[in-house]
Amino acid sequence: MTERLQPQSGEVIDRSTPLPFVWNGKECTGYVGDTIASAIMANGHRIFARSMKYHRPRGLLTADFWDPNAFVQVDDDPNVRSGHRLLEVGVTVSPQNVWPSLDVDVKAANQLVGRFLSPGFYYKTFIHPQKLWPAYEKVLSTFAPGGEVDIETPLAYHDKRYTHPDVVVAGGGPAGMAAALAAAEAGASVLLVEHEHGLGGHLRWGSDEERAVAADLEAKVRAAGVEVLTDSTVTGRYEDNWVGIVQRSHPIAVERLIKARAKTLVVAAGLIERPYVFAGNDRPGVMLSGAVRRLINLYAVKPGERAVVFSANDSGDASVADLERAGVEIAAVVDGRTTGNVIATHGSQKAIKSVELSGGRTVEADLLVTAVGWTAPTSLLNMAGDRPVYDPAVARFFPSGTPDNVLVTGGLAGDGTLDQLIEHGSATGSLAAGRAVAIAHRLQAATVRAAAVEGAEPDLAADVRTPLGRDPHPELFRSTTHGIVDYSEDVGSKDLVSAAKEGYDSVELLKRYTTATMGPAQGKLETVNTVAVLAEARGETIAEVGTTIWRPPYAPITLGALAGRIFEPERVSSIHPWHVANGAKPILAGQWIRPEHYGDPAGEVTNVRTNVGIIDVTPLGKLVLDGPDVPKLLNLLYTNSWNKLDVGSVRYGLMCAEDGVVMDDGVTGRLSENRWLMTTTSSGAGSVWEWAENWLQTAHPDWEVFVTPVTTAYTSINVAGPKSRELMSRLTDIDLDPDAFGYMKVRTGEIAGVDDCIMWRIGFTGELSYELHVPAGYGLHVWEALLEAGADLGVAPFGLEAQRIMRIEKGHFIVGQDTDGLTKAPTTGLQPLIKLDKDDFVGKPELTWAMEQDLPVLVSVKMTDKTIVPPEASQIVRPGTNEILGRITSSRYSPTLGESIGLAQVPPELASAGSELTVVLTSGERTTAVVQEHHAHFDPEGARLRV
Amino acid sequence: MLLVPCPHCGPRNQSDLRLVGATVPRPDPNATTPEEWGDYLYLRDNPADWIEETWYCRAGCRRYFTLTRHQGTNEFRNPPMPGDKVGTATYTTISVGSSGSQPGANIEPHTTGGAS
Repeated sequence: MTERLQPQSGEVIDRSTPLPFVWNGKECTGYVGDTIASAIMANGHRIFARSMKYHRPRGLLTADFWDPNAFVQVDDDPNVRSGHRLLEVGVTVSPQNVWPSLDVDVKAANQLVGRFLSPGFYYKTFIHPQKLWPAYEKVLSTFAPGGEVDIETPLAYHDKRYTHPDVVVAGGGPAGMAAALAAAEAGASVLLVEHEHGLGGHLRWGSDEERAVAADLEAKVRAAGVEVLTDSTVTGRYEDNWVGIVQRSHPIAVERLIKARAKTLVVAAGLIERPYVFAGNDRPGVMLSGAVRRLINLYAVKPGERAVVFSANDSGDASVADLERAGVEIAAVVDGRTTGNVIATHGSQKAIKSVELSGGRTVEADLLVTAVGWTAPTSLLNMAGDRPVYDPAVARFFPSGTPDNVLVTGGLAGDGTLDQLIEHGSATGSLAAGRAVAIAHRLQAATVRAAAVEGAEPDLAADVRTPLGRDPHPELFRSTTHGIVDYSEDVGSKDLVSAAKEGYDSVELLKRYTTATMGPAQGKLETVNTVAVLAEARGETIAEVGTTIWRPPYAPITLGALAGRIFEPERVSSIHPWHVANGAKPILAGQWIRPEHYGDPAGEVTNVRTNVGIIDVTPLGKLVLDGPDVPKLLNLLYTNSWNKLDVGSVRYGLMCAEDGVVMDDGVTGRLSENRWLMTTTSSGAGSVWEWAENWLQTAHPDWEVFVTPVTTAYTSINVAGPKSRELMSRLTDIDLDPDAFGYMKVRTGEIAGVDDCIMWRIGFTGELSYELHVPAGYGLHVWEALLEAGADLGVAPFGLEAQRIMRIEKGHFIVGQDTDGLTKAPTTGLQPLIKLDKDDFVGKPELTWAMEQDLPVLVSVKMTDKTIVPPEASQIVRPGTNEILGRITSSRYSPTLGESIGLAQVPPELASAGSELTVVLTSGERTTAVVQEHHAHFDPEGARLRV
Repeated sequence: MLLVPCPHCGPRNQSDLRLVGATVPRPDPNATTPEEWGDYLYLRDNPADWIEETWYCRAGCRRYFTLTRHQGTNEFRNPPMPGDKVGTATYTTISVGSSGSQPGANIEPHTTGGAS
């Protein structure tokens, strides 16, 4: 049976384009412009869902975004608001929260035991015995409402946008449009955001004259260059008018999150119609006046056959006219402004048969329309610090005071004729534009060295708007009977009263205890009724009870939109293409993609120990330090001394924070009298730079030092192995004789024909090795030249894994791997590098005390069973107990030694050579490890790297 | 998200900067006590009042600078930078009523000790 009416003058459907779709397994047809809900209604279906707790059949209540009864599954998309989402061709729409079907729902038995489902039922009933909770949970979760998530659904595209308009207008009704127009005409850049699919607000479903006014305003708004976003919602207002907007209408992105920094925000959110509380107020066929007006005027859908209208305002009166025009028989009009009242609906679970009115009268009808007043959605004002105040004469909340950069117009501000609303909106727009100019000037002028602004700051325009009036409205919240207050959470007025009696009589407590206002409608429909019922229970006024504070978001945002596009940069060195072409296994280290190995990490170790290997160490942080005061800076940042480092030498440095905790380490070399190159750990490249700048800029602005980050300006290559000198001698004229260029020295010059290279002799691998820093553009060239020149020497690349093995063989620790956020410098065993006789350095007092403390000790260990390599972070415990004493910080099998080795943090009493450690493996089994005399397992004298 | 008045770059989103923390003097490292040093490292007052704090403009000029901020209203004042002509660059109040109360209504003006 179709309920589609003859064409209506304001309808937004396109009858020339029918859209077939499936609802609840039945073939249906709608039109372009239909919402899913209007299309389902047009096909003669009135039941959309079952309620959350009691599984009562539910029909449309508001027929818009906030409809609490119209959540459906659309193909693989759950929890779709069918009152808002537009119909698309061929979709399969299914009801949610029904089992086995919409018509027969076994869980509806819940309502027969409804007295057990009082507030707090689940907490009270299932809290004991606790061990049964998993079993309860399994059963209860099948009762949880909501659609079905299909984990096979492909990822959808989401996006973000940043924008800086002078004025953002939230709400595209007559006042909002007038504000946007006036602001644009005053020269402001304006973003107008409308929640619905079209501009116009309540005029969209109004009379021909009202729609003509809206169309005229919209044409002017668009001509004035206002950016208009429809089907988009301002979701939040944060500090300094940082405004979040969710755009559902983007042509490509499923949802786009817009972050706008507005100079002024105009809130013209309008009013939301409030349901009435009475017995049977959730029976399908009970609708708000706005719902029937939207169904008839926008979608040409007949909402019922015979109606009772309970009206206390213009919207109710207008719905009577609309219903009559749609051919709905008006059985009775009850005037809420006098003594008329609705007591109850009667009928089956699925439909109204009659409506019981005050005075004992009962009228047969299948539709009951209520128009009992408005909720002021003051969410954005709440977020701006406003605490709205209740006006009993008008039966709604009004703003009490907003900051200068937030202005209110439209229904939130008051009532008036259409002309008055437009006039107020227009004045608000002018004021917003004027204030935007003053605010922009003030913001810029406050930044003393940024671009200057001309002229004196304009005065912040005073608010001289003629305030809107307030039309009296009867306070109609609950009838003489009890009914549903929160439709989406299935909370009734009786529940609220009993919760108040239990002591939950503060509105914020009541809300959390009963979950009223906490469902998908988020208080848009039910907040005021909740407060009213509580006020009644407490015997107080609504003003005395107060209301809850609305928080962001105003409308839901998908997690996809919050995540947006992923902008996680990946960094690669100039040699990366060679690594890819030569089978390197990539590993992500921080933001860098690096070669973990080239197929055989153990073989790579052996080749370095016997021949020569080369590794790409470009991610190593590099800072050029220029100036006469560099030694002062180094003395301050590092624990060791830098007074006597000659030009041409390098030194290892240990860096601590003010709390004495190790934060970085690296080698710094003096290239010339006043030029130094500092290297940092790869992960510390950025933070050490900022750290150095912090000390220079805040504590020692008089020091003459320039810090220049050059991490990616150079490609860094370590050439390691007994044959590395032979290899380098084939590519450079720099004198490599050990007497001329010894261990811990630096030279600059030409390598493989490339000028301005830096080369220093250090030994992270424990072998004779040269670390090259070559201009990044020639990195790949030098790499290939090394491989070509050293082919007969057995040169081969090695990756991070081989380097890790070799550094454990040498007992070198890695900051952040073998140290943690509590590891103070003495733990590393580098006490000789902590120069307490220096006048000052970062962390000096803390390290002075730490030297006297019994801190954990970093030691090298050898596993007793060489076939077991305990995972890194394996715990070291006291034998026979679970008392944790320390942990294995690094571990590998050493191909050089044929042993399982590692580093560990242990208490001082276990730190001496030969101590046996009990190590717990992942399986729970225990193994033992023995503390070694030296940190280095291999070549403890360092003879190999000094040759 | 706050709008932070970087003295060089102009008003910037808070995410462009890093809040280093309240500006506190560093005790003499050679004369301090564990108690005093612990206060310097870990303890900060949290008044609903003006505090001095250090910011770092990490996505812009990369300068560290001091701002005063009212912790009740998040209103900023921009004290003169080192090198600015003393007596001309007095503070400017830049936040525009971010929380609806009267920002700094009862706060004494913060002068820079100009020569005149």
